[in-house]
Amino acid sequence: MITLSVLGQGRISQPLRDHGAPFGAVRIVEGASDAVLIDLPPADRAAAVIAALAAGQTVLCPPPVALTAAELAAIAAVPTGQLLPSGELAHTDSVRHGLAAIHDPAFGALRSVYLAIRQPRGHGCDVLDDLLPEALDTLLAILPEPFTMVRVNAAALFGDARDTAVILLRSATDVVVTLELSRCLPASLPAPGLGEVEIDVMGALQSVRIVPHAGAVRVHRDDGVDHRPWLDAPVLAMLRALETPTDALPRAQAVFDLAAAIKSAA
Amino acid sequence: MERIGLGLIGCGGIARSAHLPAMAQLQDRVVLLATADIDAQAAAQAAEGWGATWSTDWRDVLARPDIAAVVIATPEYLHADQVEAAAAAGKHVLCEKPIAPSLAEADRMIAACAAAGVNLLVGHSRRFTRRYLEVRAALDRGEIGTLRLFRENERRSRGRPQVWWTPAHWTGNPQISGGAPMMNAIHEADLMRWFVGQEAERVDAEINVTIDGNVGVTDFISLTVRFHGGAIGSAEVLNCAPPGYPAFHQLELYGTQGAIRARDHELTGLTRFGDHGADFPAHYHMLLHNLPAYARELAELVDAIRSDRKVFMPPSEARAALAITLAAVRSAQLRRTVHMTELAA
Repeated sequence: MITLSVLGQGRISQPLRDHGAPFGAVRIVEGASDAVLIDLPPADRAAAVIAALAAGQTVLCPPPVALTAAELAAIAAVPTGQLLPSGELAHTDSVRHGLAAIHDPAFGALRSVYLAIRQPRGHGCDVLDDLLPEALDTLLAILPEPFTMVRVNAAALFGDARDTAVILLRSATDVVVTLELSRCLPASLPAPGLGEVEIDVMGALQSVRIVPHAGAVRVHRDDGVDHRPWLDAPVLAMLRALETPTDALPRAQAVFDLAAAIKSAA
Repeated sequence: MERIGLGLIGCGGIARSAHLPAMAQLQDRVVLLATADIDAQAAAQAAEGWGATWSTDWRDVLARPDIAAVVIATPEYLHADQVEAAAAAGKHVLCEKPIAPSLAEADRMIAACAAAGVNLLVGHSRRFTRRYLEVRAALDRGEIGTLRLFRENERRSRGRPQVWWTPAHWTGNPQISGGAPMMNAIHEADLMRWFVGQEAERVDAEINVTIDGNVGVTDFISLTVRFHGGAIGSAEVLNCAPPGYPAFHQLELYGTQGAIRARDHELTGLTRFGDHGADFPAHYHMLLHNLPAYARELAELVDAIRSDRKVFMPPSEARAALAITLAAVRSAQLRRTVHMTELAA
């Protein structure tokens, strides 16, 4: 049995707080534990990750794990513990199954990747800070290679903060990637959690269309619609990964580097 | 009322699937008198049923004095010479999109038709498509406030028709084909400008060759446009989707007070499954080769001729769409942002 503690009160850990029961080989505990799920705001994550790694813990932390190169270097320098892949989007059922299809030889060579994340308008954050890391974490799971071209068309379209970015990337193998990140949804398009996500990947032989938010219940009331996706799948998938841990630092570094290039181009 | 005599120059796929059926639908208002194609069989087949004459020389169509208007459905590299000649012969013109491969040729065509006093309607069929007409009307009514973000993705199955994008068809000939930017994305360029209601300021794009057997014609483009008023438009346009891919067009508009969506994968009323995969017969008919749209398009030209007025979409609109498309291609080639002011005629 692996013991897991939760640090923070964010969205990802909500299912664990709701249920608190053992999840397979994982038991949720308070205090000392083998592993820790860090569900803090981005600015607080790096310090928590470093502390947990220094304590020899296995660490789950959604991207971005660090906001600066110095923070990321400090995480990499900790000799103990292990950081596991913890992207929320990449751990949804639909993306996990999509990744399996994409990386099957039957899919053929990748031709193009389109990834859109749309959230309700009105939040005050820059999409290149709060949506980009998740998008890049998933993109690099789909297409784990360097990018040779970065173009960004970003603006504040619906409020004061930069709420929309259309990003074009070209990979080392000439796959063109289109990322569209926007907090553009009006109230009549409810999208809790990560929001509406569409991923269309074309291969030489097959394609996949991944729509994680489609796994939801819609409640139609007299005065509106509630879109209620089940949000526990990502964290359950992360917990399963505790049993076969892999090192997330290379991807975290790649996400950080690509995000820096995109922000520089914006 | 006497029917308008029509000529048809170019009797290939778009003529067979769209323009000839549109003429048939408007047979109380038009009569096809002559056809021309370098493929004699195609010209003869197009003439069948109308009792029209046919030729392998398009100039024969223009020589007919009883023809008031010509439908030019040839590859874009032929448009300028054919439209100029049609104008010189006093014929009104419905010319398939794109208007031309270059702004200079477009300008020649526009000037020739203006000088001759004939209408030039460029076949941006989506301006006559129910979906887009409804969207434009909703925008005009202010239903979503000011449009700030436009997206239309256009994803098409590879190999439909099978020879497209291969050297066996002009679309696959790098010497004459404008590829997906001219074939497909010019629709998105036109729509985003029409809906946003502003002029483009700058464009970024990436292009690619994605279809096996394609010898170098761009069959993929992803572009993003910044308009002078600050709005953003984007489109991913591809032709490499496998058969049965469920989303052909995905239109989304986000305004300051709401959103409009028309996404094919949410509008599929009929799905047919076969050994080759799935297809969407009602969907395809309704949204892509939209016969009512082509009939409305032709009716607009005919009514303009009868009323002695200009068509509602002046050719300068088609030129503007071409300019955005050319800027996108140049952006991809130069690997940098292209400002619209860089485009010389």
